[in-house]
Amino acid sequence: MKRKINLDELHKVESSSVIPLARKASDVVQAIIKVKETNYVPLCVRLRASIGPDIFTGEFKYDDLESLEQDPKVESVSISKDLKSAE
Amino acid sequence: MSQIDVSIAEEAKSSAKTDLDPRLQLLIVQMRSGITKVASVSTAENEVAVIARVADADAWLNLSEVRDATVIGKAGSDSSIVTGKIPVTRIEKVRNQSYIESLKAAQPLQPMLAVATDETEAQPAQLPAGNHVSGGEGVVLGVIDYGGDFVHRNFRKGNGKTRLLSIWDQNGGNSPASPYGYGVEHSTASLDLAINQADPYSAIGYFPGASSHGTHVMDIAAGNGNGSGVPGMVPNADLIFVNVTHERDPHKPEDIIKTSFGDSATLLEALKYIFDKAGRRPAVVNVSLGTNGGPHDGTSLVDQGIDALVSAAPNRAVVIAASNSFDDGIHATGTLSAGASHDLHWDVAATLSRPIEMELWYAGQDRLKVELFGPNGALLATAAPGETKQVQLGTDVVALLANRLNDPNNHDNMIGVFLMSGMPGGRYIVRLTGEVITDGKFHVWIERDNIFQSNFPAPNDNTHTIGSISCGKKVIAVGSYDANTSTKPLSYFSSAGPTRDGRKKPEISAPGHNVWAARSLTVTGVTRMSGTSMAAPVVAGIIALVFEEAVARGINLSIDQTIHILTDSARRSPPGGAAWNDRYGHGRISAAKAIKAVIDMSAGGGGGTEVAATAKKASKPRKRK
Repeated sequence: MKRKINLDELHKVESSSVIPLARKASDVVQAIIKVKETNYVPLCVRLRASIGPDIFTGEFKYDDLESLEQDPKVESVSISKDLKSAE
Repeated sequence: MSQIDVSIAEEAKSSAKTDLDPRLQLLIVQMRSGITKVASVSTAENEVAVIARVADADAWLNLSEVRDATVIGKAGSDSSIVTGKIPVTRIEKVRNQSYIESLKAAQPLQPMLAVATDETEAQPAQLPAGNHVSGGEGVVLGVIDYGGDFVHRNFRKGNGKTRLLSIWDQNGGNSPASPYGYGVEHSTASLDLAINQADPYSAIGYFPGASSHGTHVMDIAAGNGNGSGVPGMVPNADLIFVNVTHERDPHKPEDIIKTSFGDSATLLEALKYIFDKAGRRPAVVNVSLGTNGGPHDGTSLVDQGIDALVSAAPNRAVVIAASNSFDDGIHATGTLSAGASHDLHWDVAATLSRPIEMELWYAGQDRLKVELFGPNGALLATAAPGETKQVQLGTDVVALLANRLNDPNNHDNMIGVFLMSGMPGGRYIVRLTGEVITDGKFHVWIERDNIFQSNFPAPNDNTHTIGSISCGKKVIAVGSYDANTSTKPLSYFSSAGPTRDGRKKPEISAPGHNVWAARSLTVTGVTRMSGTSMAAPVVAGIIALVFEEAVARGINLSIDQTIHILTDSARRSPPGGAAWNDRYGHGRISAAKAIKAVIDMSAGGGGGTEVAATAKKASKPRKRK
């Protein structure tokens, strides 16, 4: 089971992501990640798709949020957010 | 068509069955007068498409005169609505079947469906002389949506084979071959195999469902009319459809799964998939999905990701519906001074059956305190700047208040408020108090809910109601107007800009009101829908035409050039005046004028970059097939 993480300490998490993150019961988090070094992928992240030189989608364990927060090469993390139909 | 000899026609008409549909009567009269009914894209010579109400649907399906017999659905408890094509010579025979209660020629859909192409000056005859457009040939048109019916004839070639390069069903089971590790990719070959099966959907395990949203959108952009009789904007484009997922996270609450369509990460993966499949070919992708939550300034990572994808190569574009929230009371704004408070009233009509969210953004140098009061006036939570607070009932979290500082992307601050299922209906109050104020301005949005929309009480500030992912710096956001009315009024629902950082979005508008286009599970049928979802694919199709023209002339267009071509060639009156309009955008899109701009660019020496040697070159003008 995931540990309790203080959301107020996660400064690299995109603000809009906080509510979906707080609601997640999942141990695995899917996200869009921006890094400061081209093609860098943190070890804790499973790369899914390279979107640009410094942006990719990936998955990681909830507990790894803190290591991403402390990774100097990680610029920001956007926890995947649900979309609605525009109909 | 040659002129009918009235005397012969009248005589022949008198011998036709008098209770027959007048259009069918006329066909019989013409046939007896020696006039051939010409073939259409969906009917053979001397064949007519019909719609009928029958007491015995099975008998209709087995009637040998009927080709492409289809049961549309029940009409009352004892009858069914059916369609099909029958020889003109057999009209009366068919009509005399005892189980046929009504038989009519299919409505002349051309005028209704052609409204969008006519109004946007996209018909081949409306395009400028010397154009190289051939219905989007050589261009990939991608659609990210839900429910794309590959069996519909509008997405099949004349020989019955599919026009789809692939479908990626993100909801399908995972396999080593799954794109990015999930879903199922259906190739052209597998779709062609499926089409020939008795149940094509079961054959490949992809069920578009009856909602028709993706089918309708794809048809507006790129249907060829082989089924419905009326083509969309680019009938010769190659198609890719991505059916968005809502099942990637098995731990997501069920109530969210039922109301969401994909998410920000899978959207980027869908875009990446389409552009990779297109390779060096021009590609435009239509997205009719969105969210109200978000910074509305183009800085979120999904915004940056889309920008990166369309900037990575020329002749790429992403078109996104502006949203349908103009009149939903989902936006509020205000300016706070230090020490002052502002109450946001949030009306919830009934006990929540699923969660709702509110998202407020304010300047990074300001500091606001936020308090949440329940419908009974009780203070539920207070969050100082930088704090996140949860409201618990026993062990259950029933509300969440997040007062976030220094967003990593734009360095602004955000307040998020979340109410969980089971919270009572009534008026909630979100009270803001200025602690440190330099700017003081704030904008707040209530998240979209397609079934049950909570709102701010009227009067509302309906500016800034455009969806957040429509605010990307290099996406093309599209508003909707009613092309069926001579004054071309705005659709009542079409969301307004600008973005929170003051950029002019939507860029452009297109017909999206009462649009008839393909309906799922009918093979040839159509249905009527309204929304910016219907306007966006009109623009996507026209961009495909622009790309086709540009590449034929040896021009590669950057995304910025593509946007300029569309906005600079947009038509006015409406909108009035010369300024950008917060709902029409820079104006109503014109295919003819956009293509003329490309021609002028070519004549003037470009501005675009030279097309790679592998891209097709201008040879001779081509016309729509």
